[in-house]
Amino acid sequence: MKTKKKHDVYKIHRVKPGSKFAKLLANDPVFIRKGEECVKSLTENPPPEWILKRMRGED
Amino acid sequence: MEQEKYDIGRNEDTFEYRFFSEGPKGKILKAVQFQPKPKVGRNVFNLAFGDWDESKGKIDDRAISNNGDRVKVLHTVADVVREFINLWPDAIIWVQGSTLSRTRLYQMSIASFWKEIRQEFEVWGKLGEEWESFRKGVNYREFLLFKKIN
Repeated sequence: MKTKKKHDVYKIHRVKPGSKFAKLLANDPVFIRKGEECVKSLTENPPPEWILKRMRGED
Repeated sequence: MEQEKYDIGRNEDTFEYRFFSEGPKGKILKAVQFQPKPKVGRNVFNLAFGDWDESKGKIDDRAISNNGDRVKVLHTVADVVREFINLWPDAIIWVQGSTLSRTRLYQMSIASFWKEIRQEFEVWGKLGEEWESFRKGVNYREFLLFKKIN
């Protein structure tokens, strides 16, 4: 049986609002770019209404 | 058949998952992050995936690792998505590769497991300006993935 090595699983720091890491993420160009592309795509060319309702939690 | 995949480190509170790719180039830390997009809808998340750059504290979604474990990495990412959707069953995940070739890779992965995926998930692809239910053999630029309502 394969034994899971402790260091194989990366321990992730909890991101607290206002923390250094949270600020890093807020300024992360990948996050910003992806976020803008996602919003632009889904608002300019939205999927069918039933999916939009589900997106908004209205179904 | 059980697919080979890596152990995942997770932080459910912040929608972050990380794992190590292991291969000829050594251990490379990979990260998958789900970013909520409440401007579109409270259930909308976009997926960011790439190498975790510890020195910069961010994902590099354009890195090409060539660590000889592409299939295992993709299986692990698929596992992360499945786990996230199980935690947030109403989630609708928007996926776009950082490059056309990476988007194509996602598409090939979906197509190769389509029989299994379609039983559990709805997958939609954006073709031109329109969204349509995923069809094998069609080149999409973006995807929406969410759990089927039975």
